[in-house]
Amino acid sequence: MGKYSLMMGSEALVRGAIYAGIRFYAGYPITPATEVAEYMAQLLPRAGGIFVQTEDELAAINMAIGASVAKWKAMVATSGPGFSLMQEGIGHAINTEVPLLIVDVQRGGPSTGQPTMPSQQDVFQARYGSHGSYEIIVLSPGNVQELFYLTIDAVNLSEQYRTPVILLTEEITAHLWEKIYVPGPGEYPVLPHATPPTRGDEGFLLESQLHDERGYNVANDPELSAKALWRLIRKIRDNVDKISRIEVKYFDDEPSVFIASYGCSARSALAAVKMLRQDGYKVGFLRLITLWPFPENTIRNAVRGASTVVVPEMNSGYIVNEFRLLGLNVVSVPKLGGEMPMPEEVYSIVKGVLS
Amino acid sequence: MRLEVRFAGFGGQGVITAGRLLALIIMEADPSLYVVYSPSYGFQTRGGDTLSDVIISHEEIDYPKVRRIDLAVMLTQQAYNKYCGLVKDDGLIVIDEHVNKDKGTCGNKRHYKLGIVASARQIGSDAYASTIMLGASINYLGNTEPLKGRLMLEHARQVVIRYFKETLLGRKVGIEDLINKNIKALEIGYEMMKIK
Repeated sequence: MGKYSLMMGSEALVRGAIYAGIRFYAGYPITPATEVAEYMAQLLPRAGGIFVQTEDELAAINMAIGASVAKWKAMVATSGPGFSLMQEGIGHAINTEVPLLIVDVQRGGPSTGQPTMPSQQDVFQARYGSHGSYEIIVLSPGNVQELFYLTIDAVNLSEQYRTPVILLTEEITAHLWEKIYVPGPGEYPVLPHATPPTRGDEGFLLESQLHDERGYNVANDPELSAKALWRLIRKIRDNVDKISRIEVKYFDDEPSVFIASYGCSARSALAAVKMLRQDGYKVGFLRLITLWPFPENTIRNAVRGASTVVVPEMNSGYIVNEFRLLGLNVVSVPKLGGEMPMPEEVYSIVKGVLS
Repeated sequence: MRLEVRFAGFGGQGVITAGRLLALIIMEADPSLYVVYSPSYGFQTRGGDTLSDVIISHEEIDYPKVRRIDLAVMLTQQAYNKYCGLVKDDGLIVIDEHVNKDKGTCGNKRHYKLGIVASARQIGSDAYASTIMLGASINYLGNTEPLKGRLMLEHARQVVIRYFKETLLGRKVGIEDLINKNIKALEIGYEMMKIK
């Protein structure tokens, strides 16, 4: 049996990670992700894990990759500037197929930008930040309860697909305290840790250039290189519908307008939908739980019949482009400055669309 | 049914603690309710403005920040001037007795003056303002939907004792005294609130 607890988002994240079997954490303190490190330093050693404060974020992610290969479920947590420094390591983990959890508690950018204020400005960096062609899984928790469960899901997905998974949250959710349910041991599924396959006494080769299934370098062979890279891409791309999830509410009466959002902005969006419904407007609600791979088919299905999708987000308008690519008529509600969009703001924009 | 509460004051008056305790007490009183608690202090813990918000609802809480406050307890003039406008027209503004409501722009709203800071000093420290305003709030909220008939002083007593036992774990002496004084402060606050 689990129990109810009043918890800060960062603590829920840490407890979720430990629940999922994370036993190695490396990181460098950075606002607003420092609480993750603090709770980790407190709770991880008690669970038999290792906490390391590294000299910088490059060391953190590379150390975590090493730990994961050495049979420890591992994670890092950071914010914007640190996330930028980790990009090379993310590509390395993708190419070497190392399961790893990467947390980015988003603050305002660019550069040191707004350290104490939330944003959703790293949505594209999470998808495209590392060099080369690749696919990646990025999850976006909507509240503290989901932050707990999605942390476990992220670790599970990273084990299942042998790839780094990014948990993209925001300062608001990481610092907010909410009543959450913490499940007891065995109540929520946890996958075993995947390490590189070994062949007898040979051990294994960990190769960051393109390689075959034995780990041998094939970077000079166009055909084998293409094969190796397509396999890495397809293991995500071909499983979009299994990996990616959305939440849809208020859709039964086939509304012509949907408000679609993610993370903390989705809370404003939902409040706006409720206000609009109260005033007699038929408006639907869609929330992305997985940002990448972008769940095209699921979304198309969910909003079929709708003529317009309104997308509030705390950046200059990123995810809205993905909806535009689906051929939908979109209205972007970009919000900069570090405050969540107000439900009233979203309300009046949607009302304008409807009239 | 959504209920929004804000405690605001000066660093050291226990504004943050009051919010956290209120959230815990609500969970104790009715485990089926949703609770969000959001403290705001930054580097102001030793003076400067602090505030903490608690939102209570019978359904999942969407927007997690306060917009239309049902109960605001404000211990400083500065906090009052800044936040009284966010209080609903039928909400309640509780201010410390030294706060002058004529200096704000909320004269037409419901005000209630309490000697919170003075009573805290009588008990021994400004920090007891925390449990005094908590007691007063418990009394008021216990007569307000959705907490009517469910939120009792006894819930508050239990949580306050448990909370200070846990958070003062490292302390060697004086824990008992601190808990007793906080319970006393809680009861004083509860008695102060005459508005139903």
